[in-house]
Amino acid sequence: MSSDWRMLVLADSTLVPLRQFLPKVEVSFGPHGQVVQSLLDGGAVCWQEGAEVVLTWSRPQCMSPAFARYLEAPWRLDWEAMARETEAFAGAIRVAAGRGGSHLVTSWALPPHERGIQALSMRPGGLGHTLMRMNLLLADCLADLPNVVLLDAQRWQSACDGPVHDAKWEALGKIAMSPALLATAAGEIRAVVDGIRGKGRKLIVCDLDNTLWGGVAGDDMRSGIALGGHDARGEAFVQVQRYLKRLKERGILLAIASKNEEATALDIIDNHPEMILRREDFVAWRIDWEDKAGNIAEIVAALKLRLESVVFLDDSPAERDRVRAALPDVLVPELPEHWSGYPALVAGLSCFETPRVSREDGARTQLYRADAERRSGSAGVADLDGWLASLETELVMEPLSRESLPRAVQLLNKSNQFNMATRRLDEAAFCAWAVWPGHAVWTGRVQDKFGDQGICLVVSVKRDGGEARLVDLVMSCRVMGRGIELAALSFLAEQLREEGVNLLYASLEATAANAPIQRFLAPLFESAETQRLCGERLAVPAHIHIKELIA
Amino acid sequence: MTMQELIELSAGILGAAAGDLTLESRRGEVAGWDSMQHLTLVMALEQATGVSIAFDDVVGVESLGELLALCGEKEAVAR
Repeated sequence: MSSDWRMLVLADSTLVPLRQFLPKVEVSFGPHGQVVQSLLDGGAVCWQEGAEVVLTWSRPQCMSPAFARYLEAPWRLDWEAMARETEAFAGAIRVAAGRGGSHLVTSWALPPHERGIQALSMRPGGLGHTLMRMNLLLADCLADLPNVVLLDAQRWQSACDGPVHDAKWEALGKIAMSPALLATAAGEIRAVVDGIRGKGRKLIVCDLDNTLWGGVAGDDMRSGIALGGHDARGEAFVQVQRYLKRLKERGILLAIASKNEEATALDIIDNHPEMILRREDFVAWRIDWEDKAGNIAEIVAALKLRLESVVFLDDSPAERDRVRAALPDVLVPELPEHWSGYPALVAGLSCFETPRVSREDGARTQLYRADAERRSGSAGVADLDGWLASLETELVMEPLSRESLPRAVQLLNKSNQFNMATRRLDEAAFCAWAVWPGHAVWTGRVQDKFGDQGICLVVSVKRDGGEARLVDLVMSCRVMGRGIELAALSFLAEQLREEGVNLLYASLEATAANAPIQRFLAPLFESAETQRLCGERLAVPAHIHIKELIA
Repeated sequence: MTMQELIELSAGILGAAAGDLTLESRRGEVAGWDSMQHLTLVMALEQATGVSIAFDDVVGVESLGELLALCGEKEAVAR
């Protein structure tokens, strides 16, 4: 069985059973109880497997002897020593993180039966207060490391669907976490790693009746549906919408697939006083009597997304079943039997993990909508060239900067279709690559008459004497089909020519997902064998104006 | 849980070939069946069947057949 990724676990308690909760992950374990030694010693055997992910799961009393002494007798509180030991642990993580890979570190938690003195716990010097302080210090110490994620182990305890600690397993094998807690932890670890690897979902397609509001639009009409008001059912659906709106603000797109009369449904969306989500919150909708699976596929294709990026929410088991069968890559969560469980289900979806949120995420729906308008506008323009010219596209090319780095890395990691190398790098690794002698990275920002589309493109090159090799050409699928990629590549070739580099090669890494970039590059090669780009075929399309910003 | 399901589950956890395992397979005879993997196997079995196996039974069980019998009894009681 091929694994999705490899994970090295460094722990001071028995975590071997965690493996069974992470199917398709190749889990290996460092020597038991040697967390700090293993972190510091890059030559240790446990590192030889080349795991992409390292999980460090430690207990506070094992990493801080001062905390262990304090647990035994609270009057022994020595915060200076605890702080020193916390910083030393963070230092060991820093050393390991410097060797690359993604590092997950669990925050420190105690099992719930470690009750302490509850009346004093949250006072300065109390157990809860002290543990929080250590965790906060740990978080601050690790904050500048882009490839380190501090995981909230206390949340796992509160989210755990069952007992957090199981005395039987502790006694049998010193397994301090219950199977239920291990299952919760495994789910969160997988979600976070998926997010880091750019596999977070990007679009939620929602049903309307009994999913976004209670009742049936066609029967109950605008005044009859359950939404808001002094009504538990109405409040639950408002809460569902609030949670969806939060996801939208984080950059998750919302769309509708509903079997309804479009006019009736849109009347509710536009005019019902308690609707939280309005028409502008949705990037697309198919409200008709057609098959939902077909409608979802159309929405996804129109947005140039992939089915692996999609979640489908519908209260009807039959519709869920249909979509699961027809579109197996779409995530279709089971909804609770009763509507009262819907808000928590939406809020608890773990498939939208991301290592960062940027201002551009908040405007993503607007960007996709503007793009859809552009395309619908194209119907009214007789010829494609005329339409492209009418967009007044400007491509602003700028060398990679500290400000553009997060977005560039996001593009690198999230783009699949228009990504020639499909390199997945974190910020530190990409930055290190970019400043290497002979390497150059440019970002491209697209502006047009609809507004600023943000940074949509990254291009990187590796020079060697009189020739250069194109390493990355990554573009958001949102701006595909406008000649922007050709403009950027032509710009780059011109830059290189000015530096005396006349030969440009491109090694295309074909993947199952990057057919669009294969189709783009293939005609530009002088021959498929050499993968040398033909200079004459590189020209900035007439409808694009390039602006160069100098660092 | 059927015999075949148990054998497949055990094979995955113990790192053995399903074809090499039978209900007569015993701890100490199967290479990967050490004390830690024994606990992992019982935990996985509990997860798969929803039954809880008592402390002394976890310690005392010696073969896949005994494990299946333990699950079967518990499953029957649960029904």
